[in-house]
Amino acid sequence: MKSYHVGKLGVAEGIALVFGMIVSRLFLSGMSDGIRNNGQLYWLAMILFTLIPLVVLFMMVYVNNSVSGDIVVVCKHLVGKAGAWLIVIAYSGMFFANSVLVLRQYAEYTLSTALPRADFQLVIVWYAVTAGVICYLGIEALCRASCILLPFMLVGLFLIFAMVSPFYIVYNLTPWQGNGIMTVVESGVHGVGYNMGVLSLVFLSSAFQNTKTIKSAAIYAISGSLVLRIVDMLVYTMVFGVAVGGEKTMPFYELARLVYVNQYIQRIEALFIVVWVMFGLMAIAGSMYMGLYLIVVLLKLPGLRPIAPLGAIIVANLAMLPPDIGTTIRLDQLLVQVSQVGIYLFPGILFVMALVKKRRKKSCADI
Amino acid sequence: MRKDGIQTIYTSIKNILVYQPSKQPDPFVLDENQQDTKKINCDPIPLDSSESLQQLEAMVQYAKRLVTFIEDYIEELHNGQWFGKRREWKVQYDALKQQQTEINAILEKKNNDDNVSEPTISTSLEENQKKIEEIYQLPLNKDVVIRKFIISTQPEVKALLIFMDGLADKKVMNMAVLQPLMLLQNQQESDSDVVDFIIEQCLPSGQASRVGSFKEVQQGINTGDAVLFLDGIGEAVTIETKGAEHRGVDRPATEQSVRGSQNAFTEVLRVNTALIRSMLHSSDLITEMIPVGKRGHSNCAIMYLKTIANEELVAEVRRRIKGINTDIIIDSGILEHFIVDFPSNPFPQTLSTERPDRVVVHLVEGRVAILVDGSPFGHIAPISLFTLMHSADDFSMHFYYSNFLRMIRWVGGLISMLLPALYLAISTFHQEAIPTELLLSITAARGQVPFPTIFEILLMELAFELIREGGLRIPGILGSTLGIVGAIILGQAAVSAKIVSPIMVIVIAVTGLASYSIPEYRLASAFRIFRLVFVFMALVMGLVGVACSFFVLTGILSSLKSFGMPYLAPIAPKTTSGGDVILRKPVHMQQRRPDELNTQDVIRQGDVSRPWTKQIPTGGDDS
Amino acid sequence: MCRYLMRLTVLFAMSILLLGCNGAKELDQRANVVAMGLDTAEQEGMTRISYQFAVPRMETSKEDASKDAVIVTNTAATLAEGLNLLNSEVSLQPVLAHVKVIVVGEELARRGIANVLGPFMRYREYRGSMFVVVTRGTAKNFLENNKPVFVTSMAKYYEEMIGSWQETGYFLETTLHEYYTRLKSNSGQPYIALVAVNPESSEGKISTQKVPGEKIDGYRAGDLPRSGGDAAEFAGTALFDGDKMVGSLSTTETRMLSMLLGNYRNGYIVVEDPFNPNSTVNINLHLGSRPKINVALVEDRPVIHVSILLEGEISSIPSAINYEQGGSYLATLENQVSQIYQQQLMNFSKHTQQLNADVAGFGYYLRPAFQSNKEFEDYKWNQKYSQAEVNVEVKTRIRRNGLMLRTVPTE
Repeated sequence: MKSYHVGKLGVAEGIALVFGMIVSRLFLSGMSDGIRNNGQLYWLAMILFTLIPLVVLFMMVYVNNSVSGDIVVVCKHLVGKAGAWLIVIAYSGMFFANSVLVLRQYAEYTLSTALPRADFQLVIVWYAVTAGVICYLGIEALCRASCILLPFMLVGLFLIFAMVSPFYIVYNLTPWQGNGIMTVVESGVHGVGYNMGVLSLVFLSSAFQNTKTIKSAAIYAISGSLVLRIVDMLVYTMVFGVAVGGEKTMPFYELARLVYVNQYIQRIEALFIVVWVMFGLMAIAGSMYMGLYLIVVLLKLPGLRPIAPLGAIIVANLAMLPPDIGTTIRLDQLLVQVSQVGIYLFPGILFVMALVKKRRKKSCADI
Repeated sequence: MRKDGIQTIYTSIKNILVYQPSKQPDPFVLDENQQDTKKINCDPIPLDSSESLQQLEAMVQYAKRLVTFIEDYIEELHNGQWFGKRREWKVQYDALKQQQTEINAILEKKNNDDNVSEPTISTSLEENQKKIEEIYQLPLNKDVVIRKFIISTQPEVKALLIFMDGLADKKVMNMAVLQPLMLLQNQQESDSDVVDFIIEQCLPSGQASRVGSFKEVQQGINTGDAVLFLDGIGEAVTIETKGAEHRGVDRPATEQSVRGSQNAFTEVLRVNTALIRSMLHSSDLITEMIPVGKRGHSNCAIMYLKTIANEELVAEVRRRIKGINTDIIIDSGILEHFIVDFPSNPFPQTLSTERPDRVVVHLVEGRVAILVDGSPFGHIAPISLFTLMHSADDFSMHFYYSNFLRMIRWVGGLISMLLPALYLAISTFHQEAIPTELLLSITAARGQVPFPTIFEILLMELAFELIREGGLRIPGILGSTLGIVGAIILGQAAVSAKIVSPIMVIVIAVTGLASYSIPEYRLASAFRIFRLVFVFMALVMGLVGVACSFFVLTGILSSLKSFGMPYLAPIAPKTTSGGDVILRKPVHMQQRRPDELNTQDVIRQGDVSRPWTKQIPTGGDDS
Repeated sequence: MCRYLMRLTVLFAMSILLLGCNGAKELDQRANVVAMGLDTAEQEGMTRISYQFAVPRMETSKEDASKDAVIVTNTAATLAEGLNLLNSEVSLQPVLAHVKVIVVGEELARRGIANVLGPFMRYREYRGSMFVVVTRGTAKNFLENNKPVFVTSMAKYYEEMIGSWQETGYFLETTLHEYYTRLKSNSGQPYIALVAVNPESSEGKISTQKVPGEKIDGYRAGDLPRSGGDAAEFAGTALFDGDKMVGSLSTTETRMLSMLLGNYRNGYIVVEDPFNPNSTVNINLHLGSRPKINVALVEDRPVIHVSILLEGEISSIPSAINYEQGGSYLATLENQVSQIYQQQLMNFSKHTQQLNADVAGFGYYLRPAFQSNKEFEDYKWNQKYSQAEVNVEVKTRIRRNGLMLRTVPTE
């Protein structure tokens, strides 16, 4: 089997890869929608839609281990050639769509906050080109750069959370049931698409050292992102309350704007632009790489580098399609709903087929 | 059949459209040690085996045909039958002649491949002298001296001594070569070899060896040895008489330190290796000499510790140096750019130092040192980015203080790369981040300057580089004065003339100072190049541009490799660090060598590196 | 080599084309607004907006410092249109990112500021940490007549002035963020600090005591008995019901509000000497711990229990009675203070209940009693507040005596 990767990735790089792909949505409008629909109990939904993909990941690791080879070989073995094509193309499409929508939202975000007079196409092309360059350098470069920069970015985030502490009103977290437990559970179960990035560990399993690496990376990344999400949600609710919190387009940016420590440390949200731009790049480049990688593995192409610029161009053009920010947010929610298929349906089928085949093998061996 | 047709069409389209990567050998990766997997050594087969094999076969066949032709011809002559077969003989003769021209062409090509001719030393002294005069263009070339004398043995032997004036030490030659050979009376036993006799009994010189070809003679003469030719013997003796004038061991010019040894390398390779050996008294320290350069033939030394350094690494370094095809290599920096993995990347992939103590520290960690004759800088490979920011006396100071200094260096590095870009981005795009008071005073100062900020930045950068570059070339006494004059007066005058604003002078001055805090000069240059890139990105897209390019830069650095070892090694692929990455641990806690070097022996200190703390002291109690 | 150079040249040419401004403006191409004033205009539905600019001036130039603040006023339908008009009125491009304070005229506040409030939350140059104040009279008047004595920069003046609220508790630091979140929280009503410009001719009236034991009652901004100093006065709080101003609190009532909010840091109280009603005792008080507030529902009617601990330091005893010795003397003094404050707090809650303005945020403490947001919204706290029963308990502990242990009486 040809190896597309130069080196072997370890736990830290796996964590950085998954973290980058998952956490970037924290900065976009998902939090406002979540708070408006679920109220103060949104953290329960977060726990649900974080733990379910972890379980699914373990299932997929089991599936991957049952057949030796990359994901296409595994799928071919379990569900046949047509099934393998369908599954891999569906996942590739989901990753590409993720990359496109995150790119579009980040470009809109940039236009609203950092560079209000910039040209829209320039911003989209800028992000797409940077993501394309990073994909060209390879997964090793992406993961290692992320794993170096991630601690500093997290320190910046927690610094902001600490600096808005004068504005905390703890009673904003009550009534604790928010809009009802059933609503919350429902949105938790339907929101698993937020964490679809964790499956990239399984798709890239040939780049990692061994299965233990994948499992450790998944656990650390998922729990880390859960902690970050819950802290963000709690701080945001405490500062703004549910009513005002559901109004804001960019929750984290508003938190950063509120910081006022003394005469000299205020209006510092410009400095945190660096943090969320890097998170966005990690998400866009990571999803683009996964989408391209699945296509490369499916078509047995000799290398990924030559189609990285192609991927960047496609993603940039697709990102310019939606007409306004409202449609973009709706499409984003649609993508999260559609990704449930990638979390529930496909891994379920593969897992069941793997169990069945194993049992069949066992029964054959008995004879 | 249909399926096959579709398959072939698909593959043919794929072959046309899909990119086929060129068949390049895989890059070298510094892997784990292959213990107990010693391969059986086969004789190395040259790459173009088929071609030379064919040539050899052709020559052998030609020789066979020539021999049979001559034998047949002689036989026919004896038989007297040759006239009738004249035409056949003519045809055969022509064929053989043509073949001979072809063979001659091959032979000539073989001879021209080596620049030196392969003739061996003849037994006639006059012929040898003529050959030497031909090679060295005597009497035009006044550097080579030929001294004829007679060796006082029984019977007397005429001899010729050839040496290069200036490179050979005259005292050694007179005392250790000429005097014993000419003056002292020696008896020669008639049975033994004359050359052996002379080497073993007559020459009290340190190194003497026999050579058989003019190529080795030339190598000897060109490096300063004296060569002795003897009448009637087809071999020569090279005698070690190297003694060219050279600079003495001096203080380091570029890497001063407060504590730590004050020796520095000089231009002579032997002195440098001696300096390293005098600090590292180990029998495992190996110095391999590899000549580089076709016309220059300078020596390049690789030094490593046999029981520690990774064998694949040493083999790779050796392979790369041997595989250089160029005229001459005069500086180790030039050699470095021939052998690194990514020569187009401005970040240095070997560490260049002129201090033997730094070389010794890295040798013990498991790295390989490369020294070139004629260059006072040695190179160490493989390294990571963090090694470049260490300075020489980090270990001699207390670790709190040296960690503090290292943090300052890192902050300085970041400042030197990012400060102008950050200033440009914040003052033109994100002005709300500046406190109001500061903003108003900057605006008041800037209001009188007619140029945009980017122009100011470029102008001040240019001025700073001019001052720096000019300061390199001013004769010594004026140097510092003009530097101060240039900097202060230029800056002050520019501010008064309202060409730049005072804040810009501060920004550029701080950036320049920060770039001088980086210990490695080439790394500072790389940062300077990227500073311009960042300024450009900030000009177009503000902080978003700076963030994107910083991410891409980190990605480029993560994929950079120095001799197969990742450039950001203990941090980016997470490996056990060995205690000395950005901050360093106290010296008694550095128990492992850096993991990424994959050395043969990983532990460098015992578990308890200060056993005296566990023992009971011999002094009395404190009661 | 040629192809490499060609590619490089093409890249450079393309990147020169990328060098659009993208909104980059040099520092000296922007005019910074440091304060904004909002008033009603004569025409129906229009707002009169005043902008105060900070003109950058070099330290060395000795020109008239008053020229540093320039005020431009225009009348427009909304804030956004006002900004457009402003661009035509000043040469440099106005930038609102450094606005320190937004001054709302009283008339506009009483009419309701919901219409004007819109752009504040949506436009990126405004931010939640900007201060808001309500002024008696018009904002334009306030901005024009406000010529501070000490600082030359208006931006610094506003920050210093508003930041000094902690010293006395006579006015509160109110930001746009607090106002807006209170407005939408339906667990309380917003409040904004009250300011005014005091015409320097009058010395104002001294207010008479309302609560037995306390020497004087509070003042409102504009009524402070003084002459000299800055023309602007910061004192008191404006009460809002929704987005309309319905009343105001005096300085002493503002102190009560500050205690209930838990951020009363410092302030002197003047009380009658319990053993010598003609002289006064000065005590410096602050909150000992956060107030313990308990709100419960008794048959759909809220019952509020407030328990406050005050700690103090004696700063003057003219009557030379030795309160410092502790025991019953000190207890008497502490009792006196507690009584005064209890009465003040009852007055405060009555005042706010009359106006239906729960500025202390008691609704927040009721929230844990409900199970879901819908239930709490259905309860409609803001209307139920006027029926609430408020019980207050104040404890005072005087801990320190200043630099004197006792006062030896003069003959």
